[in-house]
Parts: sequence; C-alpha cells; structure tokens
Amino acid sequence: MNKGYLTLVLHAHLPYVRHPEFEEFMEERWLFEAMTETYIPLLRSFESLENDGIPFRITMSITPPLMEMLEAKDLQEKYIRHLEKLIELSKKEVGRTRSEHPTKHKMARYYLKDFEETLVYFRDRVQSRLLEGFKHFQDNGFLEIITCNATHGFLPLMNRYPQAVKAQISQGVKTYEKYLGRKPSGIWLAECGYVKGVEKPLAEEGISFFFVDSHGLWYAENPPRYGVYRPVMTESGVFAFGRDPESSEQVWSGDIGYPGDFRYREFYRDVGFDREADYIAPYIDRSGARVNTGIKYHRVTGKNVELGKKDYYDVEEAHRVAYDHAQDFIGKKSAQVEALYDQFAGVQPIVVAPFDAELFGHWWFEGPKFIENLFRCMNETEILKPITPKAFIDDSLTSVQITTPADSTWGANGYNEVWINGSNDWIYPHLDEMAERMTRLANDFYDETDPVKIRALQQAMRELLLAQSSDWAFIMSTGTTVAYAVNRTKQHIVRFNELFEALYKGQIDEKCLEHYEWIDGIFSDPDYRLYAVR
Amino acid sequence: MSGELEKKSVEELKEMAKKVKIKGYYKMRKSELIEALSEEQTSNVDEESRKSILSEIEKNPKIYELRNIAKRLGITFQRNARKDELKERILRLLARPGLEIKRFGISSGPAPEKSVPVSSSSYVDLPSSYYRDTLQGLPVNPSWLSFYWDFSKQMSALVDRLSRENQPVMLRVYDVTFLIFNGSNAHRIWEYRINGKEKKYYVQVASPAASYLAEIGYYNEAGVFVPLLRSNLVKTPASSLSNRQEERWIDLAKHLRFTQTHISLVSQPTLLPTGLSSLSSEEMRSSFSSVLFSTGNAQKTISDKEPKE
Repeated sequence: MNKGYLTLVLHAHLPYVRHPEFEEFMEERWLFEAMTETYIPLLRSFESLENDGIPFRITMSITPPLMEMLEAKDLQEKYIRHLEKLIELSKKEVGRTRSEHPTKHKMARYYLKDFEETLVYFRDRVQSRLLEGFKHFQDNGFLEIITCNATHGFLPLMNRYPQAVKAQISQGVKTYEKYLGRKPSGIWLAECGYVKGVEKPLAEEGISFFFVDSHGLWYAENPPRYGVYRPVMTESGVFAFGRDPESSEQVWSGDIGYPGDFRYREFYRDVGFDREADYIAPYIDRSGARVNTGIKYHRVTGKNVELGKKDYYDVEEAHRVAYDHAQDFIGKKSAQVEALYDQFAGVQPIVVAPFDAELFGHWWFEGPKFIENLFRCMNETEILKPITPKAFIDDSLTSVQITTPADSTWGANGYNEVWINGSNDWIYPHLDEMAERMTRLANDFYDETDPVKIRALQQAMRELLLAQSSDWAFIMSTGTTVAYAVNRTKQHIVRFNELFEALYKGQIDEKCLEHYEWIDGIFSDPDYRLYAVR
Repeated sequence: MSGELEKKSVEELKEMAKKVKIKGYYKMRKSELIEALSEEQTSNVDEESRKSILSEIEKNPKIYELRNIAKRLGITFQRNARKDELKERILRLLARPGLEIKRFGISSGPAPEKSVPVSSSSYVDLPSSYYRDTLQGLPVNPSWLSFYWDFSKQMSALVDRLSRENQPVMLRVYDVTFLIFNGSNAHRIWEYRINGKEKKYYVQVASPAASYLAEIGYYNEAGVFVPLLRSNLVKTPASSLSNRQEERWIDLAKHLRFTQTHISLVSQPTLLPTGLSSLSSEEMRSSFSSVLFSTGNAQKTISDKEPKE
C-alpha cells in the first residue's frame, strides 16, 4: 500500500562563464566537466530507465545561465574539441597503463569507451543540444524541469529592491519559455534563499511552487502540523515544499554518507596532476596550470588515507556498491514514510530531497548510477512512490495549511552569512547602486525608441544580472578561484556604470557596446522596463 | 599564480606589499593585496630579469634553485614537482607574450581575437563612493546585521568637520520590533562610534525574528543625538518555533478557509537549522553550493612518497 512519496530534486546550475574572446578558457571547464560527468550520464541513466519501462519522476531545475550555455554554439563546438582531446589522452593512457597495472589498464579502457560514447551521444544522439535531451524526458512525463531566478541572484539580500527581484524572476521564466516552449510550474530559488515577499512576484509569474530549507518550514509564522512532510501555501497562493534533513544526511554525512564509501572513486587523484608535465601539457590548461582531466585511477580506499597511498579503483565493483546504496536508501525512505504515515494518522507524507545536480557524477562519480538504481528499487515497493511537486499538488492535496515560511537558505548555518561576510560584503554597495540606477534608467528611458539606446539599456540590464550571480560571493567566501570571481564582479560593475553614464550623456560608443554584447551576451532581448516604477 | 598568496594571512601580505612598495597597501583588502602582489610579481619580469633568468636556467640549476626562481615568478607548484617540470613552467612563463593576461591567474589561451576596447581591460578600479547619502542594513543571520553607508560630498564635509571638532559620529541601532518608531521609542538602543574610513559595521543584536533600524548621527553641545541618516528596516530571521497556537487551513476544492488549534505531529527538530552545506563531512571537503568551483580547480598536494609513474 502506498504510504508516502519521494520527491528527488536536482538543482543543475553553473554561473555564466562563456569567453568567446578566448579559444580556450580554464573556467569553461566547469561546464565541460559537468557535461561529461553529470548531465550526459544522467541523461543516459534516464534513457536506460525509459527503455526498461521504469516509471521514474525527477524534478530538475536547470538554471537560465546553464540553459544559455548549453544552447551556445561556440561552447558546443568547444566541448566537442574538449572531448576529442580527452579521447586522444585516453588512447595514450590505454597504451601506457598496459605495463603499469591491470586494474589501471582496465579503467583506462573504460574511460576511452565512455568518452567515445559520450561524444557519440552528444554529437549524434542529441545534435549537441543537451536541453533537447532533457526536454524529451519532460515531454514523456518522467522529468519536471523547473526554472530558477535569472542569474542565480541571491534574493534574501536583494529584497530591498523589489524591481530587481521581479526582474530576476521574470527573466528566469522567460528563458525557460524560450527553450522549453511552455511556462515553468515551479522554481528553485537560488541557494534555496527564501525571504518573505518573494512569493508575490512568483505568483505574478504564474509559478505554482518553490522549495525552502527545513527550518524555513519549522520556524514558519504558523507552525506547520506536518513539519516538512507536507507542503504549505503562502498567502499569495504559491506552495512551499520543505527539505527533508534525513535524506541529505544520508548522502552528505561524513559518518553515514554514501559517497565516502571506500570502494568509490577518489576525486583528488587525477592524471592531470599525476602525470609528468611534458606528457600531460596538451591536455591541461595552456598556462601550464594543472587541472582535472576526469581520468582517475584510484578509490577512496579508507578514512584519512594519504592521496599517495590510495588503491586502484574498479568501476564494476563501485557500480555494485551504488546499487546496494540505492537499495539501502529506498529501504530507509520506505521505513521513514511508513512511520510518518502512522504518526499522521493516515495522511501521506512527501519526502523532499534536493541536491546539487553536479554532486552526482562530478563529485560522486557513481551518483548517476545511484539515481538510476533508486528508481529501479522504488519500482519494487508499493510503500513509496516517486512524485513531482506539481503532481502532488494536483492529485494528492485536498487541503493545505497557509503560512509564511521563515527567511532561510541552504547555505552554511542556514542563513545569509556565506553571501555576506568580510570577504565579499564590498559588492553590496555596488549591486544596490546598480539596482537603483537601473530603475532610474527604466523610468527615464521607458518609451525609448532609438535602437542603439535600447541595446545599451538591455546590456546594462545584462551586466546587472551577471553581477548579481550568487556564485561570485560564494566563491569569494570559499577561497578557490577568488581572483576570477572578483574580476568578474568588478567588470560587470564597471561596464554597467559606463553604459549608465553613456546613456545620460547621449554618447554611446557602438563599438564598445557591440563588444560587451559579445562577451556578456546572456539572454536575448531582455526587458529592461521590468525595473521601472510606474 | 595567486594560489601561494591566498594561503598567506592579511598581515603577511601587507608585509610583502610594504617591501615591494605597493601604494596604499595598508588599506587594501586581502583580494586587493593578492591582486597587487601578483601583478607586481609578473610585471617584474622585465627584459633584464628575463635574460638573467634564462641564463641561470642554461647553467642547469639545482632543483632548489629552480624552486626559488619559480617562487620569484609567482608560479605555484607542488612540493614534489620535478626539475624538468619546473624548468618547463618557468620557460613557458617567460615565453608568454602577453604577461598581463595572466594578471588574475585566470585566463588562458592566446590574446583576444578581436581588438578589445580599453575599458574592458582586466584590471579595473571601482568607484570608492557614489556620493549619495545612504545607510543600508542587511541581515546576516539571526544574531548579526551588517550595515554600510555612503555620504554625499556635503555630508562628508559635515562628518569631517564634526570629527575635527571632536564630536564623534555614531551608528545607532534600534530594536523596533512591533513598534511604530518615533525616533526614541525603541526596546533597546546600541551605539557604536564609527570612523571616517570604514564605511561598514557588523552589529550583534539580541533577538531573532526581530526588526531593527539604524541611524548615523552625532551628539550636539546640548547632548542631544542629532540623526543624519536613517536606514531601511532590517529583520533578523527566526531561529526557533513560532509561538503562535493557530493553524490556518484552506480546503482547495471548496476554497474554504478554516482555523484550528495547532497540534504538532512531528517531533521537535533535533537537528539544528544548519543548512545543507554545514553538515561537517570529511568526504565532502567542499561547500555544498557548488561542487564544481570548490573542487574543479583545487590545489593538490600529493605525498612526496608518490610512486613514480
């Protein structure tokens, strides 16, 4: 008997890193790695489930910048070149490992085959358009793709500027419609960042649901009877689903989390760092900086084992472990919903488990297999069923509690401190000033008809949106690739201010504008009038 | 390139910056110091030092000498980097035509294909002020608020004059939860003396789920606080169960609203509201929000005992 539901939410996001002015750019590898290790393996897992007739249900946010990058021709071409290089390297590795170690050699052959299949999938199966791949599963009812606010701007620190929040949400919906041909049913708020009031622009855009972290529901204005295990409705009519803390712990925890299993692949040993310089040089960054290639021969091996003492990795064994872990997870979830069902006197709980999509595959190499097996195992039980929030609202919800969630995020300690602290607080005076200036521009140029001025206004909006990406503040907090994040933020601020001044002076340098449109070319035809106060 | 620098403390960086005579180093943030220093390090490779390094390398230097050269050039390398690898990295750096591209340690590949207008050069200066009177409050978490401010030229002049006349300028924070503020009726008031240079202040406040606002002002001769600027209302997030005892419901089919007394069917949360990324996890080793940035480019330190491949 069906006693409850599981909603798996994958949040797929990368900041807009696209440098057409460079033939190769180190940070563009973030996208390529995510494509090879996460997005394509997920699609192949979906395909395998579809072929076997397993009815899976996944909710997946694909953020607007990620959609824009996946649809960018230049990045698609760069990715094919990237894969071809990787295949070339794998061929060399197959030859080299033959004399090194049999397990290593087996893995080298595995990588070669896997990268070749990846290339075929990308180039031939989906004609370089991964979004089409995802759309296929949405059309078949397996996948519910939702949107995210335009550039993953951090709304809890933006809400003093309601127009800026509205533009973030509205552009998020617009990009979704452009690529997927319909309105999104739901939204993932960047960093799961909820602040009272954002439900209003969501309602205006016809969005039906969003997610909050556990304490967003626990500490809601009126305490919810079922905790995080039933959605609530806000006064604006938009539903809020709360994260189940247990599911995350089973995946993330150091003690009981799955990805730390000793038989899984070790992330930090990669031939990009292990091989000698002249051999690896063509496959790492042109500056000589070492990077991950994705060819890794070692397994986690044990707790506190030095990187130099790791054992060799066997993918077949690891895939068996991923199956066992999926079975264990479904067992635990079934027991959880059974207990909740009794506690709730026969009301079915919904367990919401959101994760960064890139966790699966990129970080936890076997993750996409785990997800695939999750649905194979769930298909064997009657107790637990997969569901999307949309289907839950439409089919299962007859009455719902009304309340306002508490301000919350899924960042460290649950609030805003990752995005505002001594390392990154310098950005807010600029972001705030830009939001105010953008409103001034939208008011003063509301009925503008000069095409060059309209382009400058749209470009100013792009620079503001790009500067608002929560990724930059996040990177400044965590301390890796800080220079890139600082530089990106500064450049968007400076370009915005230049355009602002040029518009009021009536002196727009068209050559310069064209250059900015080329290097910061996110979103076609954005509506700058969203910022106006009428 | 800036990796080594990032590991250093601000004090160490300032010390370094002082030595190489970087202007205004004492008021720089860490990121600015790193930028300035890495710029210093690469721009130091003028023609003369380039030649001298090349001739040193021709003399087949020892590994530790190479390490020193690499360090001098700001090249980040692993402890177990081999001699030929170091040599190659050094040569490659010296061979680079556009050293300035490397200034932020981010870009790779050849110089831009199109000509780049001057304004988009990678080194940019931000305005230090927009010369507008503003005082903004932002919530950090249930017990901390962050304030920043900016002054118009007139206000700056006034503030300067006040400090010259030894009338300290203060940031006042009021707890105005559930109040209609009239300028003095706060539950609590905190005061902090602010100086002219830093235009921000982090304030620890008493309660979560409370409303605050702040003023910047001074005491006049009569000892009366004269406000100059007032902030927006800023709320701390809740961090415990609401004490409301009412549940509001809606029947979705009939569009009927009703209320009930609260009953809790779930056990009180035992886990603290930590947010996903603070789950301490040895395996995670990176913050949650984006696995890619934190892992994609991480600096590896492989044990020296690494078997030779």
